[in-house]
Amino acid sequence: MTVGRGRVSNGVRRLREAAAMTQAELGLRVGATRQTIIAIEAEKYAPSLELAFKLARTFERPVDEVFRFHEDD
Amino acid sequence: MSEHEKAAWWSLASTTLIWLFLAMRFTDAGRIVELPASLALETYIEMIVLWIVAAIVPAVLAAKDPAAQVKDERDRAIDALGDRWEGYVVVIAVNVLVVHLLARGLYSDRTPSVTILDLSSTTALIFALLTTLFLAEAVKQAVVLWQYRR
Repeated sequence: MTVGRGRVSNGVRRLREAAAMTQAELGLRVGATRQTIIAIEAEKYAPSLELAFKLARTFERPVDEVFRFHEDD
Repeated sequence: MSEHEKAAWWSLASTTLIWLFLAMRFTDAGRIVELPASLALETYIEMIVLWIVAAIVPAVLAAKDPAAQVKDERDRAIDALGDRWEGYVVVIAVNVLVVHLLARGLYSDRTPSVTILDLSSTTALIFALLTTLFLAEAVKQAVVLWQYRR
């Protein structure tokens, strides 16, 4: 069995804007820098499971609603 | 630009400048020159002093804003990638030097068909080893910067 490479997309920007939070404020709440929040929103960095849970908890959403995994063919 | 990215730029620039200082002393018209031991030692000590100063300056500036210096998981992941590439460069460069030295010993009666480093002098060996360290550091900072800017 082979496992294809995948891509993680997320709704962090949408949820952050809905919560009227700045990137710096969100970073402060989850223990990440503003640059890391920017990279996550741009989907240039896939956060660790721990940070993903912290982000989801901040938005009071389940993780799989904030992050989606797309497996390549 | 984050403080970590600024630190990487500083490190890349200072590494390059210190290596240029070293190259200025150890080479002439692109060729390694044989330095008297006293001058080689003097250059080596000066290089260490410059390296320490280059490391202290950002540390002193960072002390003014400790909160900005905290590294999160992405910063640590980027650092780890940079360290990995630094290791690759050291391993490759040291092996290239070893192969050169072995080849010189084994095939000393032959004329090489390609240009090879002349590591017959202590000065050349010192310069090659120090260049390896500078190159590894430069590659590390380049990888870190590439990761921050991509």
